[in-house]
Amino acid sequence: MKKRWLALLLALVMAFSLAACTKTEAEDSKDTEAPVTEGETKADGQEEATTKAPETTLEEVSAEDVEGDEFFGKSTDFTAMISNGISTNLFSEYEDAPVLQYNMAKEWDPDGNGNTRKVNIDVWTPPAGSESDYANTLASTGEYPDLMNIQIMSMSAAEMYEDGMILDITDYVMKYMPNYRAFFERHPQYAGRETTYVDGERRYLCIYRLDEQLPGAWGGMLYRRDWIVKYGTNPETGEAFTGAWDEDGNYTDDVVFPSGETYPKTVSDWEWMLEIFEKALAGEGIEDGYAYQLASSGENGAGGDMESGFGAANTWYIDPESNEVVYGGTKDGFRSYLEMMNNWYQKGWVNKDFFERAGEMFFVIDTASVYSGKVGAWYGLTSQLGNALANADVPWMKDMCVFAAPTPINDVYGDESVQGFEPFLYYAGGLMGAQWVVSDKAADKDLPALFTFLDHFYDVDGGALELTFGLTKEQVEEAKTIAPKAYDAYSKMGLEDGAYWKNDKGEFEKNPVYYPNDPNEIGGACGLVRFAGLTEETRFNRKYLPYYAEQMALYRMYDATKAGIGGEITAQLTPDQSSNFAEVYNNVSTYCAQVVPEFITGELDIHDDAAWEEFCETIDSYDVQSYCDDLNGIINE
Amino acid sequence: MARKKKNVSPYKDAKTWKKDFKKNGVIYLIFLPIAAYFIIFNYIPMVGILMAFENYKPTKGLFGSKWVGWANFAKLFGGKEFPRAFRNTAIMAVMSIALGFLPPIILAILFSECKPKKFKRVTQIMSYMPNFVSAVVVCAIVTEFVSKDGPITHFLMLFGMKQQNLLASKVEPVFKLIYCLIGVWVGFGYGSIIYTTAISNVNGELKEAAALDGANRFQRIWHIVLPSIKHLVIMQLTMAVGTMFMVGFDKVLLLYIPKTYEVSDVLYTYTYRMAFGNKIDYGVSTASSLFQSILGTVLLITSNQLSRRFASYSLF
Repeated sequence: MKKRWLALLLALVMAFSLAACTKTEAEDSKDTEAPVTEGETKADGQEEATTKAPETTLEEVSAEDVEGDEFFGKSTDFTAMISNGISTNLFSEYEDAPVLQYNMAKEWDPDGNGNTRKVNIDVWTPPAGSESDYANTLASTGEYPDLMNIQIMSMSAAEMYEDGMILDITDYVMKYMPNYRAFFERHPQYAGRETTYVDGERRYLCIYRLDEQLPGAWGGMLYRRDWIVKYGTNPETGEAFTGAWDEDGNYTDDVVFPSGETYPKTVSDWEWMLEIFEKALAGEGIEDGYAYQLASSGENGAGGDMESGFGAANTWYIDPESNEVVYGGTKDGFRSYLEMMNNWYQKGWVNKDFFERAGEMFFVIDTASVYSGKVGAWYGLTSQLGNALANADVPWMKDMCVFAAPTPINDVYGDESVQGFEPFLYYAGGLMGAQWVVSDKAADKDLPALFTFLDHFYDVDGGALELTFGLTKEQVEEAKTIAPKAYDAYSKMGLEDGAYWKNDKGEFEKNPVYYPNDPNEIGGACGLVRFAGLTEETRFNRKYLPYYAEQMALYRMYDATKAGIGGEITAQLTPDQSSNFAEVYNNVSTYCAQVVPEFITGELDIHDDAAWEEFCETIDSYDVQSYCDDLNGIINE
Repeated sequence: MARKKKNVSPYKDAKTWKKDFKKNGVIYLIFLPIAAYFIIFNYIPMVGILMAFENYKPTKGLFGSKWVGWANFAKLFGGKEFPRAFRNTAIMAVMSIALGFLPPIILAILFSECKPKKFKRVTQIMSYMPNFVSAVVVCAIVTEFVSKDGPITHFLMLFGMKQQNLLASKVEPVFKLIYCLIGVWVGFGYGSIIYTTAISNVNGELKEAAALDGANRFQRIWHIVLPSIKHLVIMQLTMAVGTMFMVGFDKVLLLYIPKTYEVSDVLYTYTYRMAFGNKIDYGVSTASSLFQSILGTVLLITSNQLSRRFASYSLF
């Protein structure tokens, strides 16, 4: 009998806990409420946007929709979640970032009628290493902030909006963010991508972090230039090469590749170079080195690097010829890429155990070998360029000089249909970055003030410079009285003269205190790198040495912005499309991670039509086309 | 005629719950935190099972998310890699029990027979230590030991094996054996504690008497020690069978590479990739956990029944 009572008790506990999880009355009533008609706001101040999408076009959504003064007097204290913190010992909380402090001390007048107010931002920083867990926990517990960078969240803006978690901010962006919208007028190729279709209407569900130009490359293919100088000979004359560092720290040599270029332009250039590395390894007596470092997936970079010169890449991209989204893993170009890698592997150029290094990121594979100078070419960081890895104590690293290489053009493998392609896809990013959303928590706060505040950081001649570089001398002076915390931080950094200034040519120059090297990591601290805004470096004089400037330019010599599918496109997927993609992507990536290395090592014969057909059929069976169709639908819209 | 004495519980005198509570109030109080623990951490979270039948959205909650019936299970079982993951899980589960169940018992017997106290203590502590090392560290050590240049690999090369990274081998049952042996190494010392305690409670006079009757050490172990701990062994085995399908997610995830998915992918890693890859899918991960829990319950009941039938002892 007791057992029965105990069982009943436990069942009751479960029933109670079930009941406790049910919705509150308020939530229930929210679900059953009649749709709000256009122009109405709910009792709690939250705009109901789902059913009142205006029938006018986006440009016609006028500012009259928002009466700024109605918000005057409401709270201007906002919470914001950034994607990750910065490495600095100048402050521990990101709201103490000087630029934020300075702007929080200023008065904002959204409607220009003298109703000024300050905006206060309390920044939430996820713990390093568990950013996504942190953000997703906030979302699942409903304890999320007013403003969020959703880069680290597992939900798209469209999904959040459908769940009622974020606001439709169209009216506010239209009225209070002219600087933000001006970016899309300056960059018409991105126009339309900043909005999401909701019930057939283009709406702003988020604002993007933007870059006025493609940011400088942080990584790419690198190779040992000094080994080519030492072990190579001119392909035409057969003469030895010469190269040296001059007194100014610049590097010059007379290296010429078989294509006639001074950099490895084609696949045949690469093979010529890898042969030299083979000689160099033997010449230097390095037994455990190798000529070319390959990532465990069998592909370097994050999609397209070393591949798109074959006219295809093992991912989804916008085909430059058809302007349609395609999956390139089953195309002949990718097969030819695999033939090349298989050939390189058979020749002993590639690290034999590449497929075992599954836990390493593609840009830091076998760093022990790279940093001990035993690798000829690898995907690495731009900080490794030049003589950064040289080591006078190691014989083969004394004169080490690392140069950059763009994705090569295939001129060796396959037939003409897969040769001669200008690379169109590699890890380069685009001008539109992380998405920021405004949650329903901010619905009854002073949103005009918030959007005016945010728009300041998109002002190409104003706040964007603060965000990119930091404060000017005049602003630092002003901060002395209005934002002492900002002034103190700048004093500690030694930036009393400001973080940047204009030179005689009208170019921006950073304060030499943190330029060109930034050992104290103040570069991130003096600007506002983690916040929503525009990065404006077009007029920035980087003061690169000539050889370094050439290398950085090589990484940007081909346009990869048209073929890449950025977050601004995938953000428009419906929740069902997004779930479908997750399933397709997981299946394809798991399968490719197993089979692609097998083609390269020769375990599967890439020359065998039957094996290739089976690979293609399996990929197709995962319905890769469905994702292409979804994305084409969005692009065509 | 004398009435047949019923086999009644010693607590039968306490006719009602109230009387029993009055009589054993302190014991109930001691039990209270334990009951609270199980209710809070084991029963209340069971509500989450609902997620297995929903397209769960954190913002909508358990009762606001869309009901999708068996769709999550269909997605889970419909994956091309599910049969492979299930097969590997089953094999690794059986191997883990086959290789890992006896060592703690043998070690406990060895400890009980070990006379030098200092040596016994040192070896006991050494055997427990791996249990307190995190899986990440354990796997890093193992990865080094079985790598191409690892000491274990070089040792095996003495017997004709070719130089290779054993964790990258697709040959059966190399990966599974490595996984199971890690489990043995990590758990056999700690697992022996319960047996050591049980053996220490065996009546020493029985052993002395047997020794006087001429029983050697092995015979004393076989006829006195093992029968004395038989019920504990059966209980542990029953529990082990019940949880056998919970093949260590962390260790497999840390050790496997795409090349060895064919022989190393288990239900947990398969679910992990499916549910936490590009997008978090709470429904599928809950469905997978529920499936494994049901499987575990079925195995637990079955092994309990078998033990009742063949060993005349059962947990419940």
